[in-house]
Amino acid sequence: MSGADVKTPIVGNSKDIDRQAAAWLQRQQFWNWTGEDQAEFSAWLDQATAHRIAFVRVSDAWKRTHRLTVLRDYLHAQAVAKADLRLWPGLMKVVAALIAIAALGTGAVIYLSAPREEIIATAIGGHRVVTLHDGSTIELSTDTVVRISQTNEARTVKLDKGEAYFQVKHSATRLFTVAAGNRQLTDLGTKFVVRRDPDRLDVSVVEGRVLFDAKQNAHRQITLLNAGDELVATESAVTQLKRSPLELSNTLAWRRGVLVFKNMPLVDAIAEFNRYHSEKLIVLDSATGRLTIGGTFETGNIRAFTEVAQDVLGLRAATRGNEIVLSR
Amino acid sequence: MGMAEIPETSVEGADARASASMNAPEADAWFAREVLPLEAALMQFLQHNWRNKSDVADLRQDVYVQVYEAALRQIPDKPKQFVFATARNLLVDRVRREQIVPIEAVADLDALDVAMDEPPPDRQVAARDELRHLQAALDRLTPRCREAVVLGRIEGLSGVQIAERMGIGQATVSKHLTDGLAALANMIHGEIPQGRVKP
Repeated sequence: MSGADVKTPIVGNSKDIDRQAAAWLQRQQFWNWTGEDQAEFSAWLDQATAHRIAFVRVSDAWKRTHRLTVLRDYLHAQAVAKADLRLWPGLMKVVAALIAIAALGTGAVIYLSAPREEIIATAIGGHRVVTLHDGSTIELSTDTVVRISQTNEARTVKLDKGEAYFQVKHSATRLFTVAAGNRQLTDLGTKFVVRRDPDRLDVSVVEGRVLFDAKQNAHRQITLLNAGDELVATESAVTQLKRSPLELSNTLAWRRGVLVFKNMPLVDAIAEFNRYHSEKLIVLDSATGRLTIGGTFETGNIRAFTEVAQDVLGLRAATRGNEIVLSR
Repeated sequence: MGMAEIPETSVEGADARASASMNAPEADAWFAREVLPLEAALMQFLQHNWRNKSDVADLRQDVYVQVYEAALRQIPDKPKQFVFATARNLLVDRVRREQIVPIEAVADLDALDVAMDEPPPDRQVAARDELRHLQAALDRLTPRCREAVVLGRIEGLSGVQIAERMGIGQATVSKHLTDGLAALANMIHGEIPQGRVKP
């Protein structure tokens, strides 16, 4: 690199550029990302080599922070201890310490934001099982947040986002309900799975019965779901389907750490797969997206999935920052 | 000063055996893998050899741009030597071209030559040390900034949910996250972790 090769003069704005890169990254990661955002972002990226490097740099740092999710328990225990010390000094100090020790020891995530409400969360690619006092279990899939409150009268789980499988010890006097926004599910002796995406709610009943109750605007819809029923609720419609035991087993394949695709358009398979990874697979043209793919894939193995796309569908894969771009 | 003797072609010599060129995504991956781990050492090098400390971040950016653009044409087969040679040439070049910068701006040109024989150690740390480093970085963010990053990265909440949980506006959350990510990038790449550093 001789002086004559210097293309970009010293501009003296590295702090601004680093900040712009960080602003783009957080927009991508945390907010609704539209096609327009993507176009604007691509233009910014192509504007200067310094922009591209700054984005690669901040993305790489962000990827590394993924390791911090192992600190979750530790941070939560700290938060619990702090919250309790603020509210009840003295005796509670001892209790808080015990809670902190329990949280660290069992790996349970306990975070008291309101009395008796526990927040349990998984990161992207995470998977954990929580057992309630009564023996009911809640199994959280990737990128899921639930808030649990248990009283003598009721057990309430708020599904803020993600997917969870519930195996409920039924009690007629202490109802078990799952709330997702303005919709609510009440257990009538069951195993069921609930998935909440930004624009839809999906419920499948594996065993027993569940009461679905949607309050939308002024009117209210109550539906009784039996084993094998799947209900899909979007803003505009509620649809009910019948599922075979095999289909239900595939829906729940994530519990075994795999995803099962049967003749699924690549674009849909990728959307499923991406739920488990912070590194995202993308296809740029719709013709490639319409190719179908089948098979059983480990949720954690993005490389195996990419290799199948290359070998079976004859696609090319290129890594671009946080993305793997599949194309023909 | 003997600056005229500094061979302009030293870097070309270093990558004479390099073969292939890269496309941009490949260059991004190469850069993250080969160059970013050198940042802490590079920052030390620049700080030691440039008087005006406020220039250092901009110098780092210029080194990166030159390294990246050169790598697009030809992959350097000794990335570490290439990065430090580029940094050294850039410093020398700035002294030479900018009349406003006094010669003393470069602390010690002879030291630069010495540094070139043995580039400083890059950031190679054990996983445990890296975790400690990350945690220390997180702890140094301002409290609101850290809270937003923790809710986003560790709790996995969306921006809208972070705003609800923290009881602040979405634009403020966006600002906290931006500040947090920018600060974390500087701490994660640019600083030597407290743990052992492999020589």
